[in-house]
Amino acid sequence: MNKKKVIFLFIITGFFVFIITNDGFFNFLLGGLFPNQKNILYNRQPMVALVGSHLELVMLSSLLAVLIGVTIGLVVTRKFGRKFLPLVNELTSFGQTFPPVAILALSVPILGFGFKPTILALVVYSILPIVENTVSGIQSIPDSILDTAKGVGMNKFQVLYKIELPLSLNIILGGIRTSVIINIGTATVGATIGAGGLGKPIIAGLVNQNSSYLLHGALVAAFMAFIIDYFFSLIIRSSKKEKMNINGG
Amino acid sequence: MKKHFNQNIDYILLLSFFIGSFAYFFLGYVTVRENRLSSGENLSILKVSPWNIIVFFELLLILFLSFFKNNKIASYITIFTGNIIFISVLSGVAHFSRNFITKDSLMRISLSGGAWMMLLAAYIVIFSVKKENFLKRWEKIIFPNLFLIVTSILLLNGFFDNLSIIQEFHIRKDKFLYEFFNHLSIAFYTVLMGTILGVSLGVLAYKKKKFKPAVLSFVGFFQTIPGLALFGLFIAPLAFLSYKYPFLRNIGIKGIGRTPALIGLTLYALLPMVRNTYEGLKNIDRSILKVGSGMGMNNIQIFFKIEIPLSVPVILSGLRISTIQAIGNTTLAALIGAGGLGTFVFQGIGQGAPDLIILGAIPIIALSLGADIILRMVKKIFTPQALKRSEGE
Repeated sequence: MNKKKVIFLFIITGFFVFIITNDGFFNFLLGGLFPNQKNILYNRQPMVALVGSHLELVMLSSLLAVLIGVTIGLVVTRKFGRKFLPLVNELTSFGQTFPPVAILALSVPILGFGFKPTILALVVYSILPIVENTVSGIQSIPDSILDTAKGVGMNKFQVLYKIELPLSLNIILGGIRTSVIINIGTATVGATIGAGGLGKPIIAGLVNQNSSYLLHGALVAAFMAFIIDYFFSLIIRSSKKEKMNINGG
Repeated sequence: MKKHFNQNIDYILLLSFFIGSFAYFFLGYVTVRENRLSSGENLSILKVSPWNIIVFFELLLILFLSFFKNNKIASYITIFTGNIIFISVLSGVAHFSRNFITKDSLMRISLSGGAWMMLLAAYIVIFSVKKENFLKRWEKIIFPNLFLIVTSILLLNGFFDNLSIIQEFHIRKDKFLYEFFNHLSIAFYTVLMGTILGVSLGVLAYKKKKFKPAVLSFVGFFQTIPGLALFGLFIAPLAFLSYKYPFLRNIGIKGIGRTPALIGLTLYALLPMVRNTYEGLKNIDRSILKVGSGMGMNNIQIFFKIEIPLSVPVILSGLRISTIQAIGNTTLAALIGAGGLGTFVFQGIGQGAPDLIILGAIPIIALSLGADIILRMVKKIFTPQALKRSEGE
């Protein structure tokens, strides 16, 4: 892992924690930009709590999606599940044409408002890239490697844990990265159906025509998405290197 | 013997039988509401006679057919059964609503979870045979979509008029059509600007290697930012500009509305375009370029006669991805006052009117699916013959 990049990640995360726990920074910035605004910072809920509930939405849904998505991806690449592979491929590519916001909206008539329907909508959508990447990751492993593994006497589970999962890890992580980033974005819209999170100050800013609220929420949401994406780019790069080391020696 | 038997079972069809049966016996089929905003009561399909019997026999037929995999006649019957299930589920609800709703009643009837799940089962039934090799080309296009044709005819004849979603449509017909085309126009301009900028940036990254990291991380950055936040970032500066320079306001540049929506959506559309343009150009076989220069082509000729035509298929799949994204993200534009079909979605959310949400969401999904199909065809048409052959199509 690149040391400089890890240090950079720590610095920006530290800065992020500082600006969400301490109102001083945004008071200074937004107060300077909007001198005539009465309420500069969104005051219904502290920013830390908003970031917390946003992260809760994203992490819970992504965790469920990883569990379900990787399981489906593994089942349809086993011998007994292979007959469902064409169907799963079709459904994942068909499903990804649906806009995530439309799925969020459609969960309201079925489940009502609040935290739970948002989680469900996020999970349903974010399973798709994970399944897709798990399948293509496993399929990208050359047959010769699998044959060798069987030849040295590995059983099915050993092949799965020692060969298939490590070798397809990068591609699977890529799918998880895609779905986490989509989740962060969709969770912002979740505020309109009462799920809380960083969409709240943005929506409040739009409704009350308060540009300061709006910018406060938008900046924090954008910054958070950037940090998480950067984190994923680091772990994906580092596991690529490890894989090369295995291949090389 | 046993092995031979197993090979004749169509497990996908069997799966759809189980999904359908679960929906049939355990889930609500229609939702009945006192008025458009009240919370509804789910009725089981067993109360929506006489269609429940028809659907029941169709399910049994599916179970029966799933034991005849690779049988030509059975496959034809399967594909028609799938279509019939789709139509009879919708007709069942419509029939029920026609008997139930009198002219002046405020009652609302809509499809409930079980009916949606049954439609999914019908889709899987159709899918299970849609790609069979013995189907002729026109059969592959027509048969899986028969239900769409029949449903559209029934819809145009007013058969579904008593369903809540159609009632929501009739209340705001003009507004709906206006916002529909508004949605299309926002998405169109987004894709147009995204394509012009994205292809240029992609070519720049390819031709001038030192710009590559900057360009790719620039467009990648915007894709990570939540859409709503991205709009939010542009509203304040634009509001400030139009306040300071009134002539900007006269040409329509304001803090909220179309301008921030178009800017945000265009930045979103850049990544697939740039990435695919770059990859398409980069993956061209170097030897072809050498042949070109050997034939005496200059750089401009090589670019327009070799590099662009050969990378067009990859660029077009970038176009497909960014178009689908643009159609979906335009939904959010309603939140910043730019209109579009999102207007109904968020109005429905605000009022707590589920059918209004569906009225907005279904055309958005239909537009994305339509764009997907059309752009896949366009890609096929523009793929040079030589590339098709080498891909083994």
